[in-house]
Amino acid sequence: MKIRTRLHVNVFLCFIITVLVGSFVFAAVREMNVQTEKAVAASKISREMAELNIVTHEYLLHPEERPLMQWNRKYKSLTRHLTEEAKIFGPSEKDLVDKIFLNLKRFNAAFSNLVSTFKIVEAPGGRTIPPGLIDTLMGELLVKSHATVSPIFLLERKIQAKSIALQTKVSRITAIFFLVLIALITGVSLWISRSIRIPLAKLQRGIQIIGGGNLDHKVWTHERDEIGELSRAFDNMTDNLKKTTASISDLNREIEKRKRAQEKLKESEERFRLLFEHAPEAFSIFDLKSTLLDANRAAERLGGYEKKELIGKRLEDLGLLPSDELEKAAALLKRNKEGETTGPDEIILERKDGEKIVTEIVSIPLKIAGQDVVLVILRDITERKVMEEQLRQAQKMEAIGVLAGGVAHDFNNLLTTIMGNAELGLMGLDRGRLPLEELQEIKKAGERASGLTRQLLAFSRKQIMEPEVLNLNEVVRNLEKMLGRLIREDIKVLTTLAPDLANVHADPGQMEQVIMNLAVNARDAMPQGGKLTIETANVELDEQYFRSHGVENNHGAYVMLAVSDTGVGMNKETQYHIFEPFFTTKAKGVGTGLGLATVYGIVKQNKGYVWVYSEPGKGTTLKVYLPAASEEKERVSKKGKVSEISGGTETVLVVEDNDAVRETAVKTLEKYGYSILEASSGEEAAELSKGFEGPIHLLLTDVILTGMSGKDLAEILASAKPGIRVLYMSGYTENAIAKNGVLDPGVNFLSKPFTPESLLLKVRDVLDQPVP
Amino acid sequence: MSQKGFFEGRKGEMVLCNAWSRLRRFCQVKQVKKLSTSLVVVLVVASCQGSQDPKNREKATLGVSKSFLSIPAFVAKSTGYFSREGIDLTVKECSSGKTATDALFRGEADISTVADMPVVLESFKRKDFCIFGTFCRSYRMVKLIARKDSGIRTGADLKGKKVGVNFGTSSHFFLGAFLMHHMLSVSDIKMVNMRTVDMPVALRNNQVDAISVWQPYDKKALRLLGDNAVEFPAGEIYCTTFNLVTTKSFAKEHPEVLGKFLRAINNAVTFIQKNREISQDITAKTFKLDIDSVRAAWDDFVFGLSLDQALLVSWEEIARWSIQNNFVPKRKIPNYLNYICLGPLEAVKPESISIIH
Ligand SMILES: Nc1ncnc2c1ncn2[C@@H]1O[C@H](COP(=O)(O)OP(=O)(O)O)[C@@H](O)[C@H]1O
Ligand SMILES: [Mg+2]
Repeated sequence: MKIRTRLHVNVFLCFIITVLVGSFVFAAVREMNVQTEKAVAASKISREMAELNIVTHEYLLHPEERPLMQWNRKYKSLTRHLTEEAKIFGPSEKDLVDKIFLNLKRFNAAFSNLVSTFKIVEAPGGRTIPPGLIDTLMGELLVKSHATVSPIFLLERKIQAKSIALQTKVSRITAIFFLVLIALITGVSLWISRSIRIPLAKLQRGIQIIGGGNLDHKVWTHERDEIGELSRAFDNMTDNLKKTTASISDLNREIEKRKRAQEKLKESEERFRLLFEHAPEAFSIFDLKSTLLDANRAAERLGGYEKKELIGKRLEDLGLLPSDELEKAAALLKRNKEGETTGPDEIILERKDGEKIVTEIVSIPLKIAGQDVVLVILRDITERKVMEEQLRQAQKMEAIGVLAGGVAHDFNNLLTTIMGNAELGLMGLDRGRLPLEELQEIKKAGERASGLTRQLLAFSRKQIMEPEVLNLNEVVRNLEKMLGRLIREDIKVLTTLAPDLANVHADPGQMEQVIMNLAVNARDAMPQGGKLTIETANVELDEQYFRSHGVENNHGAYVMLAVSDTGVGMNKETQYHIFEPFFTTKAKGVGTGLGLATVYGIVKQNKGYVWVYSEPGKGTTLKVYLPAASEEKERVSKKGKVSEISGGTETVLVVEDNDAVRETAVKTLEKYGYSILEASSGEEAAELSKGFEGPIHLLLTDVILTGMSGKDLAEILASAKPGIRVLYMSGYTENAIAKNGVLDPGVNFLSKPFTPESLLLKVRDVLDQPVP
Repeated sequence: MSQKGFFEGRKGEMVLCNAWSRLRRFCQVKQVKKLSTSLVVVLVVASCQGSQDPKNREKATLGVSKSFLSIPAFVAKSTGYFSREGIDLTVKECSSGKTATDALFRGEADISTVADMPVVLESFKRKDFCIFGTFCRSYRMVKLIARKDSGIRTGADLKGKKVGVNFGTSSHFFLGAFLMHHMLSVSDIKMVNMRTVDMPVALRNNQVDAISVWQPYDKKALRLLGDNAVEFPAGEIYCTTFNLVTTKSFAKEHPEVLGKFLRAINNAVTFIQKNREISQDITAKTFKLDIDSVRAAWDDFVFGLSLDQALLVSWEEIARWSIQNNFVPKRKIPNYLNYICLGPLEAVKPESISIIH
């Protein structure tokens, strides 16, 4: 049978059954409708009978016209309904309906009897009736009523029972029908699908074989349905195909060719494999999920592990990286994933034997056989690191050596002074004169000597990096004196220090060393003498800067320290090498080639940059950039007890137009012992000072005043009261004020709002400054 | 006349009881079925008829007594149900149902609201009016309040006491029913005729020992007496009904107006049942009362459109009582079927009719 025919048979069967079910349901619904009609009719009769009873009751209580009227109407409608509905009820209900009819008539007769009796009694001049008559009549009525009500009940109940039975029957039969229908549909569908599936599977198998290249295979199924036709068509097609396809021998030749190509490929792969394995550098390959894919022998040697112990493990599970280095490695890998080649960076590895080694790591994102991987090249630089450390120390010794030379010379001079004056003093004593002058000279020389010692001690401090927030200006200032010792007299030292220089986070000793090394080099570059300039400045390094210098982008605020000389300068070749350890152009015993290498190391350690600019014959500038620290400088810790609030007895002139601010300032200063003059405007202050005889030590004034400005006032007072110090205060920042030209840079400034402590500190600070 | 119940036998009682409960059940079942559909119908009808063309609109005047019993009429007016049904209704506010019916007979109103008492009293005088719907019932419209210090604790204690009563009103009939309920007759007490307004003060001043008083004067009496008051639970002694009355000629000429009127009232009742709070607000505003006293009295009233068989029996009872007390000149009880007009309600809400017809 064809598939189509089978489907048609199925549909036809379903149709027949549906028609059967449908007609049954139709018949059942009709029957149910009849039952419902009967139920409605029965309940209507029942209701009317109930109403008739109610009116009967009312009439018996009060035999008025109204209940009588209602009784008669109800009786009429009830009998009418009964005759009408009698047609609906079938033969089984017939006797009940007849019975109702009969008893209803009797009920009516009994009621009429009673009504006429009442009428007789009620009529004017009514006759008397035999006692007990009414009671008898009422009894009769009751019996008749009851006799009517009970068959009505029976009728209702019977109809109800019937309709319930019908309902159950209908629902049961319907359910059975549906079950049969479902079973039939499922069965036939299964049969059809089975009869399709099996030949179809055979056909599929045949097609697979033919698809695999065997054109001699025959699908051939015996079925006479559509699938059979299809398989025969397929066999025809294979036959045709066979004729048109190239011969098997052609095919074999092609296969041979490909095999050879593959072998060649294998050979070359093998070669690269050997190269990789035996390369002197440690190579390893990670995938982007940081799983180790491969590593070479050098890598095995470096880590002390065998390759098979590690391959397939993730970076963090290798055990090669201490936890703090893991993060660094992960960060590098992340950049590689984004396609960036990184390195050389330093990373510390822990060998299998527990030894820690410093390595230089370069990692390169690559694509191998379509897979994104990262090639990691490691180089053990532990030895180099150890060397560098040693060299840094040696370099320091060099500086100390030079210093010691200078100091020795100085000490000799001082000792000469001391001994000479002592001699003179003794001679004076002999002559009976007090050697006051000589003793003073001796004391002075002693003080100078102790200063020298202190500096020497400070410089030779152990080189543990103790970074703190510090200001390079202060480092330079502290070093200035010592520089004099290192540098010859024919070299002029200039410092240009930015007044608002930002702080850096660095070790002060290291910074001193950086400056010293640069200064020494500058000196060496100026054998004929010249000018050495040390400069500091705040700079903003932008992306452009970093791009042009070819380093990673880390733009932001920096502090610059530049040491320039007017010396011999360098050519490009020399500039290229200067940061390498042991590179020197100086005579043996003079240069060590470690100075700039040390500078480089320190600056890197502090995340900074160092650049050289030089022109042969003209001079050299070395610029060091260190990132600006965000924290405020901890003056307190540095200056120690100086920050303790102390007052004074000087006279302060306070000028401020805001009364509250002025009062706070005045009260605070008075409390700490200062004598106060106060004014709310520049004019008033000028007037006040004119009339004031004594000295005024400090002018504390607002910058912006109505009328005369703070600066004008300061100028007037400067000529009227020479030696007066000035402290400006303002709600604007120092920078804003300075930038707008209201104040000169470098003046004393207190920003509002201020605390009493900060006011007192600043006032004391200004008063203690050396005479301008 | 034989006051003796007929079905004294237990069997007979059973038959009657069954008949009653079956009747009740029948009505309930039908009502439930119709309820959901009628709600939808009401909404649809209300919204459709709002846009009716002005040609079909009717004019009518309603004489309404300003009492809580009339709440559905006021709600229907202020929610716009009348105009949505196509009636331009003029509301004529009257002091009582009695004055409202007077206005009807004078031709100043087409429809008016009225309690049982005036219906019964008028039924002895004229035949040209008919009731076409009841829309409110209350068992607690009239109350009996007494002084504790007069030694009154129970209903039986009223014997020999002076009771303030408003002759010819519900107050009067209620007292009669109350006494009967406590196995007393009118001659057992001393009745003092007075206006309802004066009752609270009279009770406080000890002029009377008890009063038969209707809302809201009961509140005043209770307030004046404080702890000294005894309020008898009204029980189910007497159910005041509030009905819609019109002249037979109007009913004959304008049956469609009555139909629309009933539909509007029916919608208002549904609205009240669904939106208790809003209806209380409307009532408070209409009566210029504070919302709390409206809320306190709210559940004393049952709103719903109907025409009950019990209405007939109750009127006959009042008529009989009025004859006994010589309030009316005639001795024969009117046939109240002739004062009922079923048509309009049958057209609007047939399931709410239980008058046997
Ligand atoms: N300011 C400078 N001017 C010219 N050449 C300099 C300067 N600073 C450093 N150099 C060159 O860089 C080389 C390396 O310097 P450094 O590392 O300090 O070693 P050293 O000073 O011991 O030679 C010097 O030998 C010199 O050739
Ligand atoms: Mg050097």
